[in-house]
Amino acid sequence: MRTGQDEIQRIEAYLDQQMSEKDRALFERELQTDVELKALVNREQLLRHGLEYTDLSDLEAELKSLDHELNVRLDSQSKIRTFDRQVYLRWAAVLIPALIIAGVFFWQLQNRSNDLSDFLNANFEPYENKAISVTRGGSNELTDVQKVFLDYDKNDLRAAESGFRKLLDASPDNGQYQFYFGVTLLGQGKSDEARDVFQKYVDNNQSLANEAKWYLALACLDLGDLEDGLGLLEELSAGNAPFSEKARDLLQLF
Amino acid sequence: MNGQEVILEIKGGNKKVLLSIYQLHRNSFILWSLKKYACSQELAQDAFQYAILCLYKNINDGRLVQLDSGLKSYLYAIGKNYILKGFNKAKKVSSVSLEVLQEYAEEEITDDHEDRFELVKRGLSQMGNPCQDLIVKSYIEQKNITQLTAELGYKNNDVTKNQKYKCMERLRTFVKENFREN
Repeated sequence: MRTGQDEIQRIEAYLDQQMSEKDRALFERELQTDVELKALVNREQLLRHGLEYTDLSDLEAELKSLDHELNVRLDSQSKIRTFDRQVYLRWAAVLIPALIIAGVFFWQLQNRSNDLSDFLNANFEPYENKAISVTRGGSNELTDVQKVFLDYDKNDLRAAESGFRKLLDASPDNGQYQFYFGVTLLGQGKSDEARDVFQKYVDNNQSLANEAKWYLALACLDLGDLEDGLGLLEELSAGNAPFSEKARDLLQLF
Repeated sequence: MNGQEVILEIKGGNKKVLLSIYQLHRNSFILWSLKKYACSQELAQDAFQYAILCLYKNINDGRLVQLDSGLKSYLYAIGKNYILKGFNKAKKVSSVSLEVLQEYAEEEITDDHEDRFELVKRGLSQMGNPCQDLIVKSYIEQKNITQLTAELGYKNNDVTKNQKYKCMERLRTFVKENFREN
């Protein structure tokens, strides 16, 4: 088989389209009759495809490895159920805008890590303290409860969390404590525990149940529980309860 | 970064831009696909990887020199086509990279071809420098002999040509010998 350097360079010139029109025509005529030359050209083409495959598969591997960093929650926790198209649609309606928001956020931060917790950051606001006044009156000292709510008002969520834990140890069924405790948890990204707290609160049909559903929805979405998160948002968006408009806005974004 | 800047960066060999683009649009594409086509998450993921690889290939091959409709629309269009095709066909090849190659190949990629491609990949990775560098710059980054001579510090273009030929011969031999063994 002819495999000399000159022959290879002639084939390369042909494949790289660096031959003159005349030489190219001659070469192609030769290819029609010369089986050996045709085999050599095919071999070189395969080699080139192999090199291109090497490059593409390296890039593909990088993309796949990025998947794990990027979207572990989406991939591992929100197993999409193919049999339920409606669930797909509802999930997508919430998550797409969320991810777009997150995407813009990440782009601005020069592509720092991207996950749904940024969706939480973009949508979470602490609930206004409407439970306990923390204004000092005269020479009265603040009560323990007021001190906890004062921490909450100062947005010192860590201190407030600790305070609420103590209050709930003493009064585990106190709905007010449960609700604001849930907010302090969610505000610190402790979505797992916050979800349990809000779920319990909603199940007990407490006075701020609708507000709790909003926070519960955010916790669910942050955890990748798209079905429950979206279901709650749809429930909220159907009425005129607090956060209904926010829920509607979120659903209508996409 | 606008579409034109993206093209220039990729053309200049900056693959990190692709990773950033992937990071920025992947999740929204997946969820858009789930909503619009009720496809599986796996298919949507493959589709977006396919779109990124096509973007890369089309820019490198000179097919894509301008993004009139915007980068996101471009990627979504490719991904969408992939998903629509995916509904009707079983996978013929084992990776998204091969599917990209198949899309542009004149003939069907067979198992034999796949095996050879894997051997090329293995051969290149085992080769070491200067051959690996020379082959990558020449065939993947598509630099011409003069650029290779300047970048790799060879004495002149003839020396570079000879060296390139020898390196490719090593790769050809590796593929030939190992393909026989398989």
